[in-house]
Parts: sequence; structure tokens; C-alpha cells
Amino acid sequence: MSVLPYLLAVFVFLVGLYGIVSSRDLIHLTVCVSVCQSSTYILLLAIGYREHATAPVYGDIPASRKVVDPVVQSLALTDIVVAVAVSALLLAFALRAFEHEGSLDPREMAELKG
Amino acid sequence: MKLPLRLAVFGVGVAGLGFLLVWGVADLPPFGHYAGPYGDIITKLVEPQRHMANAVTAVVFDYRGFDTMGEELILFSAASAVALLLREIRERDTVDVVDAIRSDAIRGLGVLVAAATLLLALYVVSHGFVSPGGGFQGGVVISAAFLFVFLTGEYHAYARLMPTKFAEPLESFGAGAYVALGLIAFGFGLAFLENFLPLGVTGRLRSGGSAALVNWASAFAVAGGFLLIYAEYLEGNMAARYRRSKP
Amino acid sequence: MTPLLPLLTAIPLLAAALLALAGKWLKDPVPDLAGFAAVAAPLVLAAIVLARTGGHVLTYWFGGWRPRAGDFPVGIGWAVDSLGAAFALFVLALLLSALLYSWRYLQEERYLYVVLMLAFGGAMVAFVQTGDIFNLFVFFELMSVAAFALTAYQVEEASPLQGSFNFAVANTIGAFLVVFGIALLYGRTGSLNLAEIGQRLTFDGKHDGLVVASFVFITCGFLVKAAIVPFHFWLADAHAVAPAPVCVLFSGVMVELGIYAVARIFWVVYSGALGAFDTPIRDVLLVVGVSTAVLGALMCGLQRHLKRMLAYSTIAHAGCFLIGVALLTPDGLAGAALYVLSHGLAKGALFLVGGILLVTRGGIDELLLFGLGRRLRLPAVAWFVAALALASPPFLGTFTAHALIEDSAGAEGYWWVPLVLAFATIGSAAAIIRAGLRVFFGVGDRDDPLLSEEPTESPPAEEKPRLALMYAVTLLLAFGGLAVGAWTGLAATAMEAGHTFTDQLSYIHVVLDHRPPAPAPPGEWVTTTSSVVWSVVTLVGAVALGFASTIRARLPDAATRVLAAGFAPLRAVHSGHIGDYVAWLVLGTGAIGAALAVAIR
Repeated sequence: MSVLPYLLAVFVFLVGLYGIVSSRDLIHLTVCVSVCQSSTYILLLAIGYREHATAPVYGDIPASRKVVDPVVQSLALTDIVVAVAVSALLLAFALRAFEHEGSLDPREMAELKG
Repeated sequence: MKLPLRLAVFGVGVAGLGFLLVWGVADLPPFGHYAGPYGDIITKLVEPQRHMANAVTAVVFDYRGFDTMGEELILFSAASAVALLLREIRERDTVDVVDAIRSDAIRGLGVLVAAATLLLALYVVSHGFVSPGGGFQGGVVISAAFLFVFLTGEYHAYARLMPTKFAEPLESFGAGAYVALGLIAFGFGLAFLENFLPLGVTGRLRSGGSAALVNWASAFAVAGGFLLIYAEYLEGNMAARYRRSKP
Repeated sequence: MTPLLPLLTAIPLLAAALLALAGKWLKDPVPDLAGFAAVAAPLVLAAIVLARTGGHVLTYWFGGWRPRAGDFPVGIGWAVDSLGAAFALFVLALLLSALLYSWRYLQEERYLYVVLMLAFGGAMVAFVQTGDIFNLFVFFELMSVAAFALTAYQVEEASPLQGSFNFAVANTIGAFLVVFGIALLYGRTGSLNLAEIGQRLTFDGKHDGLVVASFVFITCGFLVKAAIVPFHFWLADAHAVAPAPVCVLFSGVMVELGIYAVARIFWVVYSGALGAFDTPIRDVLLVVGVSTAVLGALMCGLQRHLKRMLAYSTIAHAGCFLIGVALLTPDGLAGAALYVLSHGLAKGALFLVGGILLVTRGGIDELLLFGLGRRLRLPAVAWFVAALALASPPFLGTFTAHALIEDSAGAEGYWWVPLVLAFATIGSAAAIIRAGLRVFFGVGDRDDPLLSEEPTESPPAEEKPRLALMYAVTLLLAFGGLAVGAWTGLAATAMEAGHTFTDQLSYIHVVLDHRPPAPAPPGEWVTTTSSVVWSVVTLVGAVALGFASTIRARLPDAATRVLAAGFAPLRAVHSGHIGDYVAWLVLGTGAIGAALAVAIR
């Protein structure tokens, strides 16, 4: 049971990948990329968790209190901003593609081949 | 490749990848038993060494401030990229779009909520080293405040309040200020992004030293980046709506 | 701690932010001049840094968080050896060439183009200097986002969007794999500093599921960036549509940074813990490298879109870089480094000639441009000089690189490596020579049944480009690429640098204990007969196949049908559909992982 949160991250990642592979809509694809991204947050934050510990903010708790790891939280924050940046870009592509082709289906977009 | 073949390839791959992932995470320390030294060393040092009460913000802006600089620049590049990609749509036409919401009550509520959210955002940013919060979180909430104006009112009200031409400089200023603060430390004979201001007292608003300035730079960069992205999308969307509504 | 190191990145990045702030109000040449200055200054500094890394490994700790000797590193540390410094210098040099070339060549929203190029270059310079694994990831993402944006620069057409989209999704999934690997390493060692992680893993000595899985994820994630089979599909799409000066950077340094990351992380983090498993790791990576080299060479000859052909050529050569690194020897690594240098310069020149053809003749299609390049004498010279460099003739171009890799492989018992390198080299150079013969001399038939249909690219709307400047930069890169092979002193220095790079304990001691690095044995270049023989083979083979390919239409029908049928599945796999690409990515990771899991238990 102590490995379950990690397995959750693995499951979410694989589900996201399946979504990307079988997608027929560029916006759906972008959201699946976000789903994959979320799995990395789950993994990072799960690694830093400590039982019976509280948030690492010392305003109102004594310094000796057990806290969770602040480093993975900072990594997850950075990761979130990266995800926003990539999603914004992918959605902009989807928007332009729709303007051009009138469709959001990746199969319609396959002009580059061979 | 047709879908069935693609899924077959994917299926074989997932067998291997899935196995690898499970095999890898099985050897992690059990959930709830974080063992590694990094977090513990930081939480022990953060109050005595840096006079900061919020260890996460301390890691984000002080101990690993250089990573955060890289990431502000990522947001900056993405926002510039969105501006580049949607420029064609933007330049064409955005005038005379009729908005759906006409209720004054909703608009009034929108103004109140927007103002309250903005105040909350500024609180979150300024108290970054004292309580949960910080530049990022506050920056996103700032952008949400402006979004309320659009959601409850007119596109034009939003566009007047925060058009692309305000958001872009706000964002570049934030990103540039972050890098500049790093370089300013050189002027004091210190390392890049090293703290050059007095650290203040833990738990008071004026703690954090120069990391507090970096905190604000980051808030501007994030708010500017998000607002720029919203502005680009909204302008593009409005232009598309206008073109479709024309006979 | 030398303050020069952060300046190499901070100057371009600050300039990017300032230019974005003020760009809309600046009159025409100012954004470009600002761009040139923002790259030229760090270029000079990078040369100084390179000089200082001789026999030293320079370190820098951000925020002043330099740990005392033996303490746990809480801040972000950089560690730069000769190879890292040389790479940083190379990035800046190619960036400056690309900016000079594109002056007045890509005028729409010009300041945004310069901003993105500066961000791209600054990120790559930071990438090769960092000694912190999460910092590596952050600059990997910055470099990627800027690259996605630059690929889609000519956004009026449909194919740049598709190329950029495929590029973005594929690379982002690679990045996820890297983050998974980083998370696993952090869970085990509790640190993000490469030296600290390496020390802890080596001290533990365990080679269990976590170590192997994290190695596979991080390696495969970076191999996506390096366009190694089967993670390579995005490269041809991206190169086909990105503007030529941007392609120079993609093929010249961006792809190579993936290989650099794999090498750096293996040597610093894993070489201790997985040291006993040299042979299986070597074998798996060699198989992957060979597949890439062969596939790239085959696909290269089937293209009529010049940039797409050059992209497959890059894939073939990337396979060769990986072969050099996969040998897990200092000399193999040195060979790969030299190869990156000569290939980057030569390939850069080829892309720039492509850009010149696009601007002066309005096309980039080999058959449609047939004979139209007759009066472009200087570009023709650049084209053939660069092709020659890639064909690895004796003592020119990629010769020293090939020799080092071949000799190292022979010493380890992999006698077939020279064959593979020759196949890749001949395939790639022959296609380039064939294209050059058709376009610049009108040699051969106007038709070729084996070439694929390609969308044509229209030239960007621009003011009169400064052709003289474009020609000058192109020729400089071409002759530079050729000259690398003649400079055996550089090869000797590379050999020394290879020893420093592969010395895990020395790196750890420098970063964590502030001790000086172990002295590397001085490199000694020895010309072996076999390397000269192979280089004559590749030269003759490339020229002969190049000429022969121009008259492929004269093959008997039966032969053409057989060849076309043989190539059809290979072509069909490169479908342009992102779902296919990701499926292959998953398969590749699964397969590489399974192979290593079986071997390392």
C-alpha cells in the first residue's frame, strides 16, 4: 500500500499517453499532454510526503515540528509553469491549424510525410 | 498508420514502459517516509539562516532561485511565441463585437470580485516569505482578477483594462528584472542572485532580503505572461467571432 | 569561482527580455545590432572560459551557496570542463552566424525573432554548463519552448504548424520521461546535484530497478531530443518547415545537446553504480545508434525537399555521434565531440545554402530547382565543400572524428563500426552531392521515381536580403567544417578532454571537495592506416553514389518497383501523424528498458 500513490502517478501517465496516441482532436491532445504532466507532479509530491507532518511554513509552528519536503514542492511549482507554457503554445497551434484547415483532426494535418 | 496498428505498437511499448515504471517506483522509499537529506537540511536552516518562515518560497527564490529564473524565461518565451503565432489573427479585426451579458447586477458583482481578488493577490505576493504563497501563486491570482472583468462584463472593458500593450511590457519587465537582480549582486561583489539586502526578521513583512524583490519580479512576470496569453487568445477569439458574424 | 560563467547565459537572456520590452519602438537595424552585441560579448567570454578550462574544471555556485568541502550542496552548482566550455563557445558561434545570415532575411515581427533566438542560445549555453539535474531540465525546457516557437515562425502556411506541433508534443513527452527519472533519483539520493547523486549512487552500489529505470527514462528522454531512432520522427518535420538559420542551430547544436546530456549523466551519475554493466549498456546503445545511422542514411536518399533531406542526414550523423558515445571510452567520446564540431559547421553551411536558394530561386525542391542554380557560384562552392567535409576524405572534415571512433571501436572489439559509419557517411554525403549536381549543374535526369512527394515552401516575405553577408557566413561555415579534419592538434586536445569528461571521481572531487581535477594523460594523435583507407572508401563511395543517383530514373522498371516496394513501409511509418510518433516513442523506451532490465539485475 505504501507504493500506491506512485502507482497512481504511473497510471495517470500511461492514460495520458494513450490519450495522445488515440486522439482525433488537437485540443484533446493538448489536454492529454497536461494529464501526463500532472502525473509528474503526483510523483514528485508523493516522494516528498512525510506521515504526520505538516506544511513547511513556520509562522505558527515550532521549529522542531515534522514537516514535508519543501524541495519537491518547488520542483512541482516550476513544472507547473513549464506545463502552462507548453499548453499555451500547443493551443495556439491548434487555433492556427483550425484557421487553416477548418479541422482539428491530426489526420487532416498530415501534410509532412515520407 | 491506421489506428489499430498504432494501438498495437503502443500496446507493446506500454508493456515495457509500464513494467519499467512500476519496477522503478517500487524501489522508492515507502510513501510517507521521505528520507532524503535535502529537504531536512533546508527546513533546519531556513529560519536561522535566511529569516524566512515559508520554506517552499525560500527554496524557490533563494536556494534555487536560478531555476526559477529559467522558468520565468520559459513563460516569457511561451508568451512571446503565442504573440508571434496569433499576430495574424490579432491584426485583422476585433471591433464591434456584441457581448452576451447585459445585466448590471452581474457586472457590478464582477467589479467587486475583481477588486477583492486583486487585493488578495497582492496580499499573497507580499506575504510570500511569511505564510503560504509567493510570487507565482500571487501572479496567477492577479491574472484571475482581470479575467473576472471579462467573464462578468464586456470584452471591451477587459481590453481597455489590460490590452496586449500593457501585458507585454509587464511581462518582459518582470523577466528582465529577475535577470537584472541577479546581475546587480555582481555589483556588490557577490555571486549571481546572491542576497544583497538585509534579511529582516522572520515572520515580518520585510523579511527575505533581495529574494523579496525577486519575488515581486516573478509576480509581475507571471501575471504579465498569463495576461498576455489571455489577451492574445481573447483577441483572436473575438476577431474570429466578428468575422463569423459578418454576413 | 569565476563570475564569467553566469555571464555567458545572463547576457543573452537579459538582452532578450530588454528587447521584448522595447522592441516594438526600436527602428530597424537596432534589434539586430542588439542581438549581435548580446551574442558577440558572451562569445568572447566563452573563449576566455575555454582557455581557462585547460586542465581545470571550473565551478560556480548560484546565490552564493557554495558548500564547504564535504558539505551537502543546497544551492545550484555549475561545473564546466573543456568539452562543456567548447560546446558553449560553439553554440554562441553558430548563433552569431545565424543572426548575421538572417539580417534582413526574416523580417516579420523581427524583434520577436531575435528575442527567441537569444533565449534559445542562452538556454543552450546554460544547459552545457550546469551540474544540477533539475537546472538541466529547466534549461532543456527553455531551449525547447524557444525552438518550438522558432519552428513555427513562418506561420502563414499549414506545414510549419504541423511540424512545430509534432516537435512540441514529442519533445515534451521526452521531458516527462526525464522528470520521472529525476524524481526517482531524488527519491533515492535526496539530492539534485549531479556530483552528489553520483557519489551517493556509487557509494550505495545498488543497481536495482530504480537505478536502471531512472537511467532508461533519462537517457530515452534526452535521446528524443537527439533524434535517435525510434524517437526521431519529429526532426524531419521540424527541419522541413523551420527557417534555414534556425535549422543551422537545430542540426548544429540542439540535437547534439541531447547526446551531450546522455553522456554527461551516464558518466557523472551512473558510471559508478552501473560500472560492472559496461558491456550490455554499450551493446544496447550501439544497436540504437546503428539503427539511427542506417535509417537516416536510407531516408536521406529518398527526399527531394532539400531541408528534409538534410534533416535525415542529421539523423544519420546523430546515430554516429551516439555510436561514439556508446563505446563508453574517452577516445570514442572525443571522436563524437570532434564529429559534432565538423558536422555542425558543414551542416550549417548546407542549410544556409538552402536558404539562399529559397530566397534567390524561390524554391527548396531538388527537382523543381533543376539547373536553376547554375549562376550561383559561391553557394555552389559552399555546398560542395560542406558535402566534401561530411564525406570524410583523408585529413579533412569529419576525418579525425571518424578515425577516433573507428580506432576506439576496434580496440574494444567492435570491428563492424567502421562499416556502419561508412554506410551512414556515404548515404548522407551522396544524397547531398546528388542534390548539388542537379541544382547547380543540371546533371542527370529531371525525374526520379524513388523520391517522395513534398510540400513546397514559399520564400518568406522580406526586404532585399544582404546576399553578400549571407554568402560570407555560408562560406565561412563550410570551410570551417572542412578544416576541422586537418587540425590534428585539436584531435589531441579532444582526446585529453575526453579523459577528463569520463573521470567520474575527479568530477565529484572538484565539485564537492573543491580539489583540483586529476590530470588527464596528454592526447596523442596517431594516424592509422585503416582510418585512411576507410576515409578514401567513404569519399569515393559518396561521389560515385552521388553521380549514380542522378540517373536513377534509368534503372529498369523491375528494379525500381522492387526498390520502391522495399522503401514503402519505411516511408509509410514516417506519416506525419503525432499519434504514430508517440506510439513509437513508447515502444522504443519499452524496448530499450526491457533490454537493459534483462541485462542488469
